[in-house]
Amino acid sequence: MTDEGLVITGISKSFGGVRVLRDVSLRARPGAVTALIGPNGAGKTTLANIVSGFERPDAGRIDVSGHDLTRRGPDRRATAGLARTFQNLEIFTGLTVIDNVVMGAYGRGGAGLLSAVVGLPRARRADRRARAAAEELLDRFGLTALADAPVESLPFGQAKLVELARVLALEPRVVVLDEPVAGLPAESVRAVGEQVTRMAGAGAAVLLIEHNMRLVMEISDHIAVLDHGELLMEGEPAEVRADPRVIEAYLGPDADRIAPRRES
Amino acid sequence: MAVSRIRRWRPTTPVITAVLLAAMPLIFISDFARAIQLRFCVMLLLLTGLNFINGYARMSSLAQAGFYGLGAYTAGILAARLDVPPALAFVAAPVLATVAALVIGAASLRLRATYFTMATLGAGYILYILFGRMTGVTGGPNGLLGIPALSVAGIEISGPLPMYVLAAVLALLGVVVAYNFERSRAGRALRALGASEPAAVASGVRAFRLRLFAFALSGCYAGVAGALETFDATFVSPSSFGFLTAVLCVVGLTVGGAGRAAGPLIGAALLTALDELGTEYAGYEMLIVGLVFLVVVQAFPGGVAGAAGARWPRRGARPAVARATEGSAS
Repeated sequence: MTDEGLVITGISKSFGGVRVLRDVSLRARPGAVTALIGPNGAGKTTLANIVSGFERPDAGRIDVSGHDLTRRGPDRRATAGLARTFQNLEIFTGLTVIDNVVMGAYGRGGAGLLSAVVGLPRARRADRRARAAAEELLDRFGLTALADAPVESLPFGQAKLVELARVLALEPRVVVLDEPVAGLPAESVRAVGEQVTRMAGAGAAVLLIEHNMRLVMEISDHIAVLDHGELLMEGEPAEVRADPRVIEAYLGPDADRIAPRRES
Repeated sequence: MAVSRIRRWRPTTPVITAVLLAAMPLIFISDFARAIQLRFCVMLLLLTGLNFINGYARMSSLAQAGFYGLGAYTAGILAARLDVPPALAFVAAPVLATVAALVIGAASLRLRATYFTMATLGAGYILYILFGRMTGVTGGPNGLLGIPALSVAGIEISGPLPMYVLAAVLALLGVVVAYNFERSRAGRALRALGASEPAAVASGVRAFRLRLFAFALSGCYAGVAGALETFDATFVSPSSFGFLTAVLCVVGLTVGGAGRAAGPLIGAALLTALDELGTEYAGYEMLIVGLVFLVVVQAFPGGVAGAAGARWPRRGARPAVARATEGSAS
């Protein structure tokens, strides 16, 4: 059976009578970057929350690799191989950089509570393995020198990279990234872009929510446009760029000189 | 460069605790000193337990005094009124306190932080009222008398020194377990949950279950502390387990350094010292507590342990920039 990646089917959601999402269906294929774009308030983050289990949809279902996860909580979805980042930086302050990354692998299992408290060798071995994997990831993100630093001492751009490394530690099949480069300087944007491409290259289905259109056009294999809670269109970057509806709804008249639309 | 790579060995909290607990009775040998030392062990257990929920999980529980009292009364009632062998009564104390924590935690740990604190305040207070009002069982405000001496396998543990040794061994065991836990996968997850619940949950942490586990541990430690108190004093009265004790536990841990291994140790030392000051400057001790609390939380948000950690960082906890340059230079 081929892995179907992330399949979003007929998702609807209202908040107090306001329709935020209306019958949204979308697929993120394994090994590809699927971008979800749209103006502010289009419902992108709500969709990310529904996909990752932080919010319950009124209707519709979420499948990951052929498993229906609609009724599972966010912790159980992590166990099923679904990882996400957050729009606002969510890191584990008080933990070192490497412990932040090791935490990402939590959903893959390990020693139980009691063997950990007693300090059984089995628990120590599992911990060493998780550490070795985290070290490899830090190396890949150029963060090796910072491994033992408290994560709160890092500048914003590097903290964002730690968040990405943490997500990868889960070895996820599906990754949801909610505006991973918002507020980042140009060189960090490039670094994040490379890592996202690499995630997909390794076989993960990546759902990328992003306002930085240059990045989206550059690294996406497929783009879906959300407007007023409905899927306006989807297609390859070139198609989306050329579609008059998208230009009108989102990109504005200067579609050729697409710049990040993030209001600063 | 080579010099900076040499690991400076720093004593860990369990080592410091062991040395302290072993040295104290050798340096101060009077029965009066022994009572203070035992008090320190009891405080250390209370605060080390509280550190699981108030420190690592960053939830604020005010129920620690209630669990402490529950442990004390469980041991006392079983041994004095129901003729249960004292050793068994001692063991029953943490068991019942843990069960109580599981029940109270199950009802309150899904609440948001502030409401959880209110719920634990209520639960702790209900326990306190029960200790004072169930006169037939607890002896009420007059206290519970007639607690027999503790004995294990025919060997009697009574008198200041044997009781202290027992208290010291249990306190050290508690500190070692907490230290192992902090470094374990579950301990890391609990600290992560305290720092960012969304990210922890998205990493697969079962938030409610883990918090319940932490809360149960805090209850268990308080139960041990209560049993020690009962068999040492051979008398239990409700006044030791009220609101004041609950607040003092939170203040002691916060000033010592919540979420840090050394925090309970420092906090317990401060609370024990305060206990002595209190007898000398009766009536002013809460004023002292308030002032110390205000100054410390303003000046050192991480408590004394946090401030010390920043002044003498652990290996690897040096500023990020320094390490980054070092990495690129090598």
